[in-house]
Amino acid sequence: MPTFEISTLIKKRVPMLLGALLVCSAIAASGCGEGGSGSDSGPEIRPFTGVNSDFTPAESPRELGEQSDLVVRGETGEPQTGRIWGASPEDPGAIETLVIPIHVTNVEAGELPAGSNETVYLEVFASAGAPRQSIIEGAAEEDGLFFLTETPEVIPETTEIVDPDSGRPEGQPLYQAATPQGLLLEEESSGDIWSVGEEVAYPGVDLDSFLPTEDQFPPADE
Amino acid sequence: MKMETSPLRNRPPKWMSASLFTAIAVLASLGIAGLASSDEFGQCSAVSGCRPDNKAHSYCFGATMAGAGLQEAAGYGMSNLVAQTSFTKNFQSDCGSNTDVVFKRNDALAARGQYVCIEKLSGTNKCNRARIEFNPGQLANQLNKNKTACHEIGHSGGLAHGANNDCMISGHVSANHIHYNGHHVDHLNNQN
Repeated sequence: MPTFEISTLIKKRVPMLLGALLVCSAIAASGCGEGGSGSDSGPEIRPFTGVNSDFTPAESPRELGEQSDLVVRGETGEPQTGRIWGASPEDPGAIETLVIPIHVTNVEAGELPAGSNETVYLEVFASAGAPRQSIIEGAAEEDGLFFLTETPEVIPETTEIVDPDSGRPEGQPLYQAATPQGLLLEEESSGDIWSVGEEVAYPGVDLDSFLPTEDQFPPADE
Repeated sequence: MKMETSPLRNRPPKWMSASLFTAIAVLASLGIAGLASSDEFGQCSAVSGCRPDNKAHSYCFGATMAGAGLQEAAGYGMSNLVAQTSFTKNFQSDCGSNTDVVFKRNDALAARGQYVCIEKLSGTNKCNRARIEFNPGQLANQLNKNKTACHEIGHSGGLAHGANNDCMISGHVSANHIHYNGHHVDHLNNQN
């Protein structure tokens, strides 16, 4: 019957164990394939999906604030039908936006538009099917901090839009997120801050950490 | 008194050498790009495009795409996709309900460019038709227009943001970054 010395056994197994450990670490690090979304944390309903943009990322809340016309805290209201971006409703490339009212509780930078009645209107491009529905179901009554830029009036010669004045009360401007970094919601269950445009959670901090006076973003849970 | 040293004294034990070999082999088999970027693919999320219905991309231009180098950028992006991957392209002079990607200009966009899936393939999470738009006011030169075209077309193939050595990086670029790296080419070709 063969006998084994423990040291010999360890020496034989260590390379195999290290190899297995490396494979596991590498797969975890690469995160590729058909797994779930980028982060396992965050709310179950993830609005603003199926829409991806190429944007210039801000390095800090201060820089994000500098890119914004208005920074407000507030609560989101029920999304409404927005505008049709396209040459006509039948345009194969046309898309109908959603408009989310934000009931402002505090203005952190900039000024509310005249006659706003402390509500501003956030226009979001909504993807087809379930993602669009998830905005309607998931975006209402969320407390958040919003970095906004006023959507400029469009010139018909360059930008096709069917109904430029739809989606908000007469005379009120529409806003967009300054960048996808600019929509920060408080997640009720965990208390984390959730950047919906980046699908990134910021655990253990509150919205004060993102005020436009701050020189760095808190660490994200990615 | 001089201490005698063996020439093998500082050599690592054999089991350690074997481990290093294993580690190098594993890293090589996975590819450095795969390790360097943590990404997802085709999830139709806020950071990843939707999988397309197939790899035959038909495309057309909206009426306001003329001028500002936008048609050229979109044309570059589609040609690059075909050159680097197993996708094919088919330009349609008239946009129709069977066009996969409609390119538009949007001067009011708070971004350089944007991809939106506007119709899912029935019963799937795949995208049947998409809209890609450019905001030339944020695209400083033709290099950046081409980069953003490559970026948004990458989303239409299912890619996510994240790599730092190809066009899926966000924001302004000063050089290169108008192609897909090997990792992203693999995603596009294999659709996973």
